This record gives sequence, C-alpha cells and structure tokens, in this order.
Amino acid sequence: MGNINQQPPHFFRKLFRGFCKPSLHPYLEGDLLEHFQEKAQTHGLKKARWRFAKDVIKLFRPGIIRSFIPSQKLNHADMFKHNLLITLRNVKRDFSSFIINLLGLVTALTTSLFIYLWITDEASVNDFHIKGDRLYQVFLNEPTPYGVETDPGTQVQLAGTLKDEFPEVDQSAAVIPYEWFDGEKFVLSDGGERFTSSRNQFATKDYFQLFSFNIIRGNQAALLNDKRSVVISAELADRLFKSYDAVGKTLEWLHEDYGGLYQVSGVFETLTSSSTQQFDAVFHFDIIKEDEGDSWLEWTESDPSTFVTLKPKANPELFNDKLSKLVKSKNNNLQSYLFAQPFPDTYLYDRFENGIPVGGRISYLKLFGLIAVFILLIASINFMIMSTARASKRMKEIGIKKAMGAERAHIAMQYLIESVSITMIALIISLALTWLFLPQFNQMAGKQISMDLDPELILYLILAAITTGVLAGSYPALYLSGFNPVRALKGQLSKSLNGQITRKTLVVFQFAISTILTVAVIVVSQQINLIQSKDLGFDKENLIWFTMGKTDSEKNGGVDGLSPERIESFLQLLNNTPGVQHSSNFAHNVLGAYGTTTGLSWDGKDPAVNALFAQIAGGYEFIETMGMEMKVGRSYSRDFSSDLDKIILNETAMAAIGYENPIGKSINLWGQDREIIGVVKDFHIDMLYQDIKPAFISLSSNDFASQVMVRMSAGDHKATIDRIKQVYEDYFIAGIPFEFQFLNEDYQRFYAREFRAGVFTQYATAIALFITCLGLVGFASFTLQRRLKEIAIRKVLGSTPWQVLALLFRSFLILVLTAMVIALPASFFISKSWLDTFAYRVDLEIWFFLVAGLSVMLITIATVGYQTLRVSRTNAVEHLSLDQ
Amino acid sequence: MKELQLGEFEEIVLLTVGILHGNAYGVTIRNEIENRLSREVSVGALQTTLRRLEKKGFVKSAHGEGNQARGGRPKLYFTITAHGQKAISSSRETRNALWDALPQLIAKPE
Repeated sequence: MGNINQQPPHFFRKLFRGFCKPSLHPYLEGDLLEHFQEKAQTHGLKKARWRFAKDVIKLFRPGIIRSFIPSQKLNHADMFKHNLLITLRNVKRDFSSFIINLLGLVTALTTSLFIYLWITDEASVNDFHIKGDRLYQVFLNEPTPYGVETDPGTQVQLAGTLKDEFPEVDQSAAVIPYEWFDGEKFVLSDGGERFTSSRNQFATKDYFQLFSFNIIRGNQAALLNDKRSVVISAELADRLFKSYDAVGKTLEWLHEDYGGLYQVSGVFETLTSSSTQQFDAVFHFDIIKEDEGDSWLEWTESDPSTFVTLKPKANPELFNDKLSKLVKSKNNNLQSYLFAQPFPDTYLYDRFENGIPVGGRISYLKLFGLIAVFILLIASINFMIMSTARASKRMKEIGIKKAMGAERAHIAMQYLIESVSITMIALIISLALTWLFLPQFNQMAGKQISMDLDPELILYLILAAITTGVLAGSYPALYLSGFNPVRALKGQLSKSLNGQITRKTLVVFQFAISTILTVAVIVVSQQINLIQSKDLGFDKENLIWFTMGKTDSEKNGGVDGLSPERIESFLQLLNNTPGVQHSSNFAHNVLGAYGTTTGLSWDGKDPAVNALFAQIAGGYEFIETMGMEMKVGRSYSRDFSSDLDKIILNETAMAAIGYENPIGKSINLWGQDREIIGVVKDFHIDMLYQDIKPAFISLSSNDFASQVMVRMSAGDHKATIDRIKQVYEDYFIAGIPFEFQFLNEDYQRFYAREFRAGVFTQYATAIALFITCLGLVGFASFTLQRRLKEIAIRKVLGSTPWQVLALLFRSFLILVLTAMVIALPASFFISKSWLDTFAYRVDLEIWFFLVAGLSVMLITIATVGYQTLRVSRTNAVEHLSLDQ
Repeated sequence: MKELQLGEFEEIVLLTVGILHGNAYGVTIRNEIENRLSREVSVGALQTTLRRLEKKGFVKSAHGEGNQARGGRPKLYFTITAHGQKAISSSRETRNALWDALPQLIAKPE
C-alpha cells in the first residue's frame, strides 16, 4: 500500500462524520476507507472517489443517521407530564393569579371569537356566486359641482352593448332592483282572492346564469326566456300557492304600469342575508323597458344596474380601461364614465370618493379586527406581567432545575407549556361562553350567525390559542430561564432593572390602548347623539308611511292607476281619522333615495356649471306633514287651483340660483316656466356624511306619488294606526295587506352601521378596561408585596398612613399618566379622521379627552385603592422582620 | 415461525456471514457478495441489514483490530448465531418444500 496518501473526497468524508450515528461511526468509516483503498488499487483513484461519494450518499438512511435532537436520552413524555404537574401545583399555590389570568384570557378570547365570527360573516356576503371571481358590477361616475358621484344606475343599453362590443365579456345582465322603486309596495295575487306584497325586480334573460341563486324548481337555462314569465322565491311560492311546485302556475301583479298575468317559470331558494340582492320575484326586463318607452334607451339616462362576467382569461384592467371611454364614444356631450368593480367587493368596499372605492364596511372590519388583536394582546400582557412578577416565588425551582442540568431551552419550554395549557383551558371556556351568548350577540349585530364547529374553525381556534399562549409565555420564558442558577438558589433576583422596566412598559401600553378606546367611546357616542338629535329640517317622529292599495276598477282593467280624485278622497278620509294630523302622498323614499335632475334653468345661470338638483315630489300638505318650515312664501295649497305648475325650493337651491327676492319669480323646469311660491328651510335627506344639496319640491297629485305619509298626534300610535288600517282596508281591495313603516325606524336603519359601531366600541372598551384592571390588580399586589419592608421603615421613621398612601398611588398614577401622554394625542388623530368623514359632525372638545383620562385614572384608583389602603395601614413591625 | 423469516437480501447477507466464517466484516461481506452474485452492494444497504439481523439475534458482532488502510479504525466482525443458523435452515426447508410441490402442481391440471 504505497500510495496511502490517496485520499477520499474530503467533503463526503466530513458529511458522513456529520450525520452518522456515533456508535456506528468508527466501524463504518473504517469500512468506507478500506473500500476506497481497494477500489483505488483495482479501478483507479477517480472511480474510487466516485464510489466513495456514492456510498456516503447511500448511507443517508434511517438506522444510520444520528438523531439531531439534543440530549435525545430525555424522556419527552415524562418531562411533559412533569411540566403539567408543576403547572397544576402552581395553579393550586397561587390560585388568585391563575384566576386573574384565566379570566383575562377567557374574556379576550370570547371577544375575539365574536369579532372573528362577525368578520367572517361579513366577508362571506355575496361570496356564494360560483362565477364570483369574474363577476363585475358596472358603476357610473358623474362629475358634479360637489365632486364625482358614483351611482349603480347605468344605461339601459349598456348590458347589451358590453356583450356585443367587448369580446372579453362572457355574459351580461341588466337589472332594475327592487330598491329602485324606493319602497313602493307591490301586490301580487294568485289570480283569486289571495293577495301578498312582494319585492319585485326586473332582469334580463341571463340574470340567473351570472348569479348562482339556487333554483329549486324549473329549468335554470330557460328561466326568463319568455316575456310574461316570472321567477319567484320559495317563500313567495308558499305564500301565493301554498306549495313550492309553482312552475306553470299563473300569478297576477296588480299595478297600473306592469300589471297583468305572469306564468311562473322557476322557483329559487329564499334569499338569506348573505346576498345583498334582495327580492321575492324577478320579472322580464322587457316589461319595464316597453313601459318606459324609447327615451329610456338614451345614453343620457341611467337606471338599471349592470352586471357582467368576463371570460376566464380576460384582463380586468384592460376591460376597465375600455369601459371608461364607452359613454363618450356613444354620446360626445356626456361627461360621465363607467367603471367595473368585482361584484364580491361591492359589499365591503361600498364607499366611493371621487369615483374611486375607498372603503366602507371594510374599514369597520379592519378596525374591529385590530381591536380583537389588541384585546388579546392586553390579556397576553397580563399573563406576562403576572408570571414575571411572581418570578421570585419560583426562583428556587429554576435554580434547582438548572443545577440538576436543565438547559435554558427546557425551562423556557416549561413556561410555554404552562401558558399554552392555560390558554387552552381558556379557549374551552370561551367556546362555551360564545355558544351561550351567540343569540344576544346576533341581536346586537343584526345577524344570524350560527357557530358551526367545522374542522377549519377548530384548527384556527387551536392555532389562535397556541399563538396567544406562546405570545403570552414568550417573555416570561425568556426572562425566567435566563436566571443565573447560583444567584437564583441564593434567592437573589437579578439586579438589573430590566424586568421592572419591561413590566412598566407593558402596563403603560395596556393603559394607552384602554384610554384610546375610552376616547373612541365618547367621540362615537357624541356623534351618535348628534345623529339622533340633529335638527333635520323635518320632524321624523310620529310619522308613518305606506303604499296606497289598488281599487277595484284597476283590478278588472289592470291598467288605469289611481286617479287624482281617488287619491284626494282617500287623503280626505285619512285626515278625518282621529289621531291623524296631516297626510300627503309623495314619491320616492324620503331618506337617501330621491331623484336628481339637471333640468333646471334660470336667468343668469352659468351654462358651464352642471347644476344638479334633488327632486322631491309630494302632494298638498306634504311640507306640513313632514314638519318642514317655510322660510319665505307659502306652501302648496288646495285653495289655489293652479299650484301644479308652481315650484318650491330649499335654501341651498335658492343660494345656488342667487335670486334676491325669489317669490313670484319664475324658473324653468324641463322646458316649462314655473313660479316660485316659497322657500323651505334646509332639510337633510342624505346621510350626515354629505352636505345638503340644492333641492326643490314639486307638487304631484297623481299616482306618480303613490306613497302616503301620515303625521299622527303623539301618544297612542297603535289605536291611530288601527284606525288608518281600517280606512285603508275599506277603501282599497280587501285582502291587500296594509304594511306601514315608521319613518323614525327607517332613520335608525339608515345609520345602523354607525349605531352598531357605537355599541361594539362600548363593549370592546369595557372589556379592554376590565382586562387591563385585572392585570393591574395582579401587578399592584406584586409591587406592594415587594415594598412592604420599605413601607415599614418609612412608618417607623414617622410617615403617616396618608403619606404612604400618596406615595403608593403616585407610583401607579405615574404609569397611567405616561399612558395618557401617548394615548391622548393618538386618539385625537384617530377620532379626527373618523369624524372627518361626516359633513355634519361634533367638534372634538377638550372635555372628551379630560373625561376619558379622568375616568381611566379613577378606575385605576378604584382598582388598586383597596390593596393600597390595606398596605398603608399595616403594622410596621410585622414586615420589618421579612427577609426579602 | 415468524421470527425465523428472512428477506431476500437478509438471507444473502446471513449466508455470506456464514461463508466468511470468522472473517466477516463490512468490507469482506460486501466484496464476497459482489464477487459471487455480481451485483453492486452499497455500504448503507449492507449496514442497515446487518444491524437488523443483529437486532433479530441472527448474528452477533465483536470489536476487532484496525489497520493502516482503515485509517486505524476498528473492524466490526459478525458471526452467525445458533438462532441465525436455524433461520437459514428453515428458509432452505421452506424453499425445498415448495420446490418439491412444484411438479405436482404442473401435473395437476386435467
């Protein structure tokens, strides 16, 4: 063996040494080397090296590879059991802090669980449509003097044009949704005596191909093929025909424009709240299109909602780009432009600013998601503070373990197991609590969430619990496992201030968050107060409204509407009813939904300005019924026969027109001169997010204004409504249901989102404060414990209990004050950015912050007060002998 | 019976250990198999099989001397145990019985 210095590949030799079991290593390496030498002699060095490498790689298999887990000889199951036992013993020994930790974690987890359920429910709205990923809704942006207004109403021809002229469009549908009729009640019958109200909408043929409503009867592909066909909900089928098997049956719509007989071609499963499109029956689009006539087809008109599905590989950005130029290419005079938003986004991103979606519901989702995280964080911090504060009690345990050879990782693991097992217990309790309080939560949130424990949710929950547990246990684990064993055994805590400073920082952080939330509660409730008490320019109390029924002649002919005389005599009957002060017919919905027009012109109007006016159509007495006030002039009156071609403006409209003495002057509406007879004081019909728009009220005595608003005397509404119901049922066809709404309830619904946010914030803040205080109790009892000796010495040297009390309070209040310094400016900016979204808002006043700060401080004093008081009054002698 | 069962490669290794009789360690076993059966054997496959046989009690190992070619690393000698001998004979008997049955099986149809 002369050439012994022939060496096998160095890298592979090293590799082998790295992974081989120590017990096999010398023999195997010997074998490998011997093989190598042999091979080198018989086959040459190169082949031998190759073979060596190959052998090493093939040795990489179980049985040969060593374990890479350090100290593999430890029995993990036993250690795990030991750790759980220690956890249990600690729970027993220090039951109060266990309860504090548990209570905090349970509250936080329950709150987060509710918020999680709410967020997933909100996010699941509209996501049941199978083609959702390529389904778009087209919106119309209209530049106005008040910024770009975004409207779901688009051109009648748009759906067809998109399908014909845009190759990337797969299918399209135009829809006149039920909301378009502004609350008008439609009455259907089974052709006989069974009447029911229904939310009807019109849609083009492909509607049920774009959207995945569940068709339970009928042929999905041919639902709206025939003009006189109708698709109804299972619930409506049940109401009308007492059976879901309604296909082929005939129903009658009692309506002056769209009335007649229709044949049911399909039945869909009744819609749940996970669909934003809500309707009971879908009629063929051509019915309304033919009724509206040819002018409706102009590109200047905008009414139906338009939906498209793009072909699977189409580029939505290119589509949007082409879409934005479409209106101009059809009519060069128009300034409006279209854009498409993914349909599943329309629910969460429903606020537009200058024609761009800027959020809406999604901001509340994000906000409450953040609050959930913060509440979990506060509870985790409690755990951290409590475990590190109790460190002195467990120092000896750690010292002994380390002396016995425990590594830092083992002790860290022990604390992590402790925190994770407490979180798991908390999770189980909070699951039970969530299940228990779900009905109350649903009521508060206006939802029908059910808690289905599907595997995914369980996985998330366990992940969340482990994350929270690890988060809560991480700092104590690091801090406690870092003790020097010798010093720990002697009972000396590390001299560094690190632990204390970290604890104080954490407390400050908790208080900062609680303070921010407290300010939020005050600001939101003030704004809600403003919404509730704001002088709207009309009196929303004591008002009900409903849609007029149908009279007999109409049922027979099915075409003529209510004549002005019939409306007038019905209103007379109403006005003679005891408890009714005023009544009037009107069109549209008073809140939010109203017509707008640019068709108003006057002397000196700047032709460049695209002046947009809101139009309110009401009958005689409309202004009196609503409780609006005239600024100058008079309101419409039956005493003047020619009031139909007069006009009344609001103050903002008057300012826009700029006449000094408007009464008697004339103004041109849709090519007809009208005399201004009065100016009404400004009133709010939009949400308070928006400025008051210029508006005019026109007189409408015919069935264009087919809703009735009734002002009742305050007091016994029920009796009055019963009498109105009687008048209604006597006057109209018997059997047509009398369904009314309180305007005040509409108003509450209008702001449901804000009110809900208000309630949510209140609960979240109460919970955050509660958990923070829990932590504070633990923190205080620990701090006080450590200062017993100091207090005893002070007392011996002559301090009065009051001085001691002041001293102790000072140490807590300093923390709270530091938190305020951070929190108050932060809350100022957060509140301001929320309030800025309202056109009418409360001003941020200094007392909001003072009250928030003071209440947090009072809560602190109340929380630590008893403990502190007790400590300051203890007998000094008792604690002087303490050996700490 | 089950504890006497052998896999194909296990059987080869066990027989080779027997053949080498007292001089069986990693290198010789491998060379023997490669020479006799002309198939390539990797150290990994051989070593895991040897460990398995040892665990089952068919072979036992003993620490031996090292030499220069091995970089001074000791050899690990394997010898076949009584239990191991039983296992190969049992395996042989099973096969013989099967072979004996084969002509009858062929003759059986009709």
